[in-house]
Amino acid sequence: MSTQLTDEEELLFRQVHPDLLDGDIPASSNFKPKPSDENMLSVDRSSLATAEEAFDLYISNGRKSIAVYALSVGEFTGEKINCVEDPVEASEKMKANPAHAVADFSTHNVSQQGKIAKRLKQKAVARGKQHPK
Amino acid sequence: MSQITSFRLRYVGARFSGKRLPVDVLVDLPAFRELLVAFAKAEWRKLHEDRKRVPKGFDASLAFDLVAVEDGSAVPVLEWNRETTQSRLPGFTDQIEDVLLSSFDGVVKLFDEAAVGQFPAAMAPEQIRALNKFGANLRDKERIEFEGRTNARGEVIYLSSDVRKRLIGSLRDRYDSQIADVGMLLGSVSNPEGDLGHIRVRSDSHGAFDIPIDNETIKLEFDGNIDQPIELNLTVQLDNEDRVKGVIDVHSISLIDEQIAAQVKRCKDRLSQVAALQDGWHDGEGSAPSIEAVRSANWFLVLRVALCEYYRIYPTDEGGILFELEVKGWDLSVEFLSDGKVKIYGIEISGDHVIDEIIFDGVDDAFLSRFNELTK
Repeated sequence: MSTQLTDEEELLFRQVHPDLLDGDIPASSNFKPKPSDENMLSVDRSSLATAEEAFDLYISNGRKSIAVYALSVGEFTGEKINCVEDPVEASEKMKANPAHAVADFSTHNVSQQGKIAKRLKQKAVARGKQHPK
Repeated sequence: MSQITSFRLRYVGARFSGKRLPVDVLVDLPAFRELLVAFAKAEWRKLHEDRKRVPKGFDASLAFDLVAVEDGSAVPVLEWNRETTQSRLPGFTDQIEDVLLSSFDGVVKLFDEAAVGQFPAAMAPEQIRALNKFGANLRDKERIEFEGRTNARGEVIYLSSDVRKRLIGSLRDRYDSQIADVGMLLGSVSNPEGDLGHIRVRSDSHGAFDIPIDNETIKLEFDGNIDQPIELNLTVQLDNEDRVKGVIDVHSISLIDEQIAAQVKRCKDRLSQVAALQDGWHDGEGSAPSIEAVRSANWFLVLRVALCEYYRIYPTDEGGILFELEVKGWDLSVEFLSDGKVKIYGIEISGDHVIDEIIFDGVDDAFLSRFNELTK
């Protein structure tokens, strides 16, 4: 069973796809799950990796990122979204990611997720880009 | 025949909901009559090959009355005025009614075939002129359905702006359409021998062309502003490559601030970049933006240029285009969906209020009105 993250101060890193950044503003859609994510938003725990390490690992696994933003566990729980550990083991195609975690949006419908994503984006942008500085 | 001969045109699109018939489409009613008369003349001549001309008074004998605007999208009902024919062409009434009905068959067949890319090799200039007027104010995603007339596939026959464009384009390489765009003022010329001069403008989408303007306005608003950006809303004649060949009506023209123009360019460039994305853009997922979404987003952009500095533009995984903007204390999302519909929702930046999502049929009056309420 996955362990819920309880340190409300812990930051969780979120990668931003290059096409979802206009100027220096990320789309709110970066902060909600994609249709294929089954309501689980991927993040990386700052207690186990720096923003730079999370970025490098993400890129090295063949995915695109142009910036890393962060939200705290408490900011997710304030939206009634639980965050849980979800370490990824190494496979043929992917390197291991022990810092991986997910934010569970499943109690919110698609319409609600859109508005939550906008509030989370406001907080992430206010905190500022975590990497590259 | 004793049955009343009437024609029901169902206008489909958000602008027409609740029996609403915008004033600018009322011109379709005389245009529809003109179209039927043009076809009726051809039909008459076909039936009477021994005669070079239609009977005197033929045109005037074909009168129609608007007898109702029915609900369920606006459905103007036009009734042929039998008495007018009887009085102007006594003895021909039944024959003309047959010609009229046959002409209507010809008109709907023409539109049905055009919808599947089958165009007539040629048509009489009178028919082309009439065709060029009917439906000229239809916007994207709007259509006129001919109630009670279905094709071989059982579908109601209709005329949309796209079908109309292709049909007229195939016939005369030119068609009339309303455009909203941002261009550049190239020059202004007053006419000392008359009231009307013109300004010359260029737009990326429609090329360089002249717009007739009265001398006084040229002097007060445009002289000395060469190379300044200009916002245009016009009814024009376009060729098959969408270049302006003539200006029919000027709805609004105004110079805009250079900073706004720079932001318009930034948004257009960004929109082009997003529109060019291919399937799989999002790490193997994500659909390419649909043509409908790109068209809606472009149309919105030119209709609401004043807020360009606030727009941030992104693709969506579902093949849509997302505009986000922060204005008047709101963080708004305007999403142009892959089917051409538009969704708007938002949150209060420093508060708990939200704007629940509303989906509109397209960039229509209802959507623009709601957008205005939230941003002005």
